[in-house]
Amino acid sequence: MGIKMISEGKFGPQEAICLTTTAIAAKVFYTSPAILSGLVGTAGWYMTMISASVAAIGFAFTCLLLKRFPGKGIIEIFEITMGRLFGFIFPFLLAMLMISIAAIRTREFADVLKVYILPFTPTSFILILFIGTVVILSILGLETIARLSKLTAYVMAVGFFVVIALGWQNYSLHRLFPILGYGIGSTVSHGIIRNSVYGEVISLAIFAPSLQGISHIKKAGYTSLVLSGFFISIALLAFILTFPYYAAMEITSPMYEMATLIDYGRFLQRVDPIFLFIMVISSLISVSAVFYAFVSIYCKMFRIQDTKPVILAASVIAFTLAVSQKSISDLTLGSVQGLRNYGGIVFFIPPIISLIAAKLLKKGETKNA
Amino acid sequence: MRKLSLVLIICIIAAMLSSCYDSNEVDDLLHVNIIGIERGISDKWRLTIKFSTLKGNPGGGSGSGGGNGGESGQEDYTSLTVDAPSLFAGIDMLNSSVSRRLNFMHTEVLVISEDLAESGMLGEFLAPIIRFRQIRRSMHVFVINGSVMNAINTVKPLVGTALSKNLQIMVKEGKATGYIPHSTLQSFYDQMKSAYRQPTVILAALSNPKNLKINGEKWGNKFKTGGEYYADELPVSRQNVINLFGTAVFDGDKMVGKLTGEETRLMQMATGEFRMGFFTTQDPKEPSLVIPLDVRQAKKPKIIIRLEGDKPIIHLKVMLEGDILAVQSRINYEKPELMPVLERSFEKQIKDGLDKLMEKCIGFKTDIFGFGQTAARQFLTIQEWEKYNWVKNFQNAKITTEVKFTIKRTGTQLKTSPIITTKGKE
Repeated sequence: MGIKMISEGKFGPQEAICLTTTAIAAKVFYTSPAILSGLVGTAGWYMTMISASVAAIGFAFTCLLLKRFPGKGIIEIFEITMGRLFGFIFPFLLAMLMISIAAIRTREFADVLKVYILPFTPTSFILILFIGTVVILSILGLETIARLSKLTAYVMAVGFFVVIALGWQNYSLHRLFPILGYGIGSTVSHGIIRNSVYGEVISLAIFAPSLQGISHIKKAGYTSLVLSGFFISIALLAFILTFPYYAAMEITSPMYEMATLIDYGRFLQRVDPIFLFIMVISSLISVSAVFYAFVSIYCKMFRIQDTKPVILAASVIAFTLAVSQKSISDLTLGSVQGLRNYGGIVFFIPPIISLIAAKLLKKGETKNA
Repeated sequence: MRKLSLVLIICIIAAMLSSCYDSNEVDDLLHVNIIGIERGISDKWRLTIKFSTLKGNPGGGSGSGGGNGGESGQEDYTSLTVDAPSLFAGIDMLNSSVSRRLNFMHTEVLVISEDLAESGMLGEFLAPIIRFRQIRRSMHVFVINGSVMNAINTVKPLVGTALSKNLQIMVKEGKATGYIPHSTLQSFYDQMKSAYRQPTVILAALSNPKNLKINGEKWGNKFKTGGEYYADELPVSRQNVINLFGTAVFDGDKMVGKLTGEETRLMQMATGEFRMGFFTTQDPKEPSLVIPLDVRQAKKPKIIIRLEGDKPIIHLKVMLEGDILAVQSRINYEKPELMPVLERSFEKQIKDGLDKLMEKCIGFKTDIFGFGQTAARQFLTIQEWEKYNWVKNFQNAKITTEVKFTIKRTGTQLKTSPIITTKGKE
């Protein structure tokens, strides 16, 4: 028995790459780089490549699973391979993770904005406006979000490289040393644990029916992992070249601070608006992608055809979760760290279990079928 | 129609996101140009701010109308001082004295009194200021001798009427002379907490015309390079002009010494931050005369460090190049066989200066040259590096220096011809 599909439209690998890359890379604009400096010191810029590699391995298993069930999304596959109970638990966990990411990212965005730009604006006001926009994008549908991400990706990439290039004046190579940070063991273990940074790649498996087959999913997944790994690594490298490790761990939004330091005399300084543009647009797309992923999973779990009531209800949940964060310290050291450290389990382990079950129970197409 | 209305809603939201709560009318805010801090009497900190009165034309031009005595620029700015328990309490107290809200987003300079810098209490003040969202970490930091309140009160732009523009250009021009170090709030704060090096800050002072001796014995042929002054000793004629000259040396958040303008140039040669500057060197063949040179850093300095337990052995090689600006003796140093004579003579002058500076800084127990940045490459992990404690071990360092100077051009003249008088050629 298959799940009746909600209509999510179709889009190509380019849109999928832009959507996933933006969803993954947006977190570099918030508090994570500072936390990372505290964990691995000067090694953050290459530690993230370890995380990307682990995520790629996890995604490879997901692709193997999707290959056995052509045309089906991972939520349907969970039910086919794991039965009704586990086929419900795994999507449920994934849905909870997605809505948590959406809420926490929204709150991180609002807090960074409030710290640096809008100190007098109430947090709830920023949250309502932001989530309101996410709701509208979600009502317009996945295809719209994907196409918007492609439309803005080029401008964001240019803005990103402009900020990175202009920051050149503040880079100093010596800040990369000691090159192993707090030690190779710490770097590798944190690199493996924090694979959830790249966990949004799993959304390609959730939206699999909107893509044209497994080859497109694989192409989009690996390309977006490479691209987001590149962007995150470059951003972390620029950041550690600008701030020594002991100062880097103190800063709320290192990337924003980096942009404010750009000063080429009286005619070229204060380029933070470029950074703000990238941060706002990428946050919007990133949150929309994970928010819509929650809606999609939920609708598929409960076989709901109309997404709109779910979108509205989900927005209330997201707002409540976002507003319930006690302080920025709770948010960054508690919720965000929790997601980074344990998110990977929910992103990548269920597809592996499902694949093993499919193999054992001989479900789905085998190589010779 | 539905899509159109959705687009409209997005546009409205976008417009609303342009900060209605945080919006400010342009003339609601009073932009502070300078913040000054020193130890207070009625409370812990004495905070002084200087800002435009918005009465004149601080954008440049011919100065404002009115005012007392017609001193252009002075009446366009005013300053306020308050003794307060903290920076933020001080800001609120000052806000109650002005009819606008003070804003620090365009503050160019943080001025710290030498007395406060030497007290070791500076870290207490910098902690809140670095956290303050309105403060840009790219603002410059000066240490000034004497009362910060008096200095900020009396300082006025020498050229034009815009104080902030004057300060920006002064600091920028400092790079062209090498007499002041690069010092922003960001660099100072980072270096204060650094395991690689110790902080340096621009040394500033209000000019004092008494330094310029009007009467006395004429100088004669004694040799001076021109940079052997601290900011408050500079012999310039004008009063109440801010002089930036030299470096304040810190150990963490405590000022432990000063460098003259000349020593600041040498320090920057060692760090690789020196760009250019006019130097005066003694004529090797006619020591009573001088030869001015336009000197630049040819390459980044080479630093080789060997660690022998707690004793770092450091070798510094500075590579310079330059042009001859004048030859008073009219000896033809442009000739290939004489050029090396001048080059070696200048190399010796710089090397002697560097050796003395190294000794001075070992005496201060502060690595202001960033040698630790090179030493850190010999350590694989932060734990090992921090355990070595470079900042502490620098005082045991043995430093040798080497200078390489090459004359690249001879200015607008290829050779120097002798003067012809009635007595013939000289």
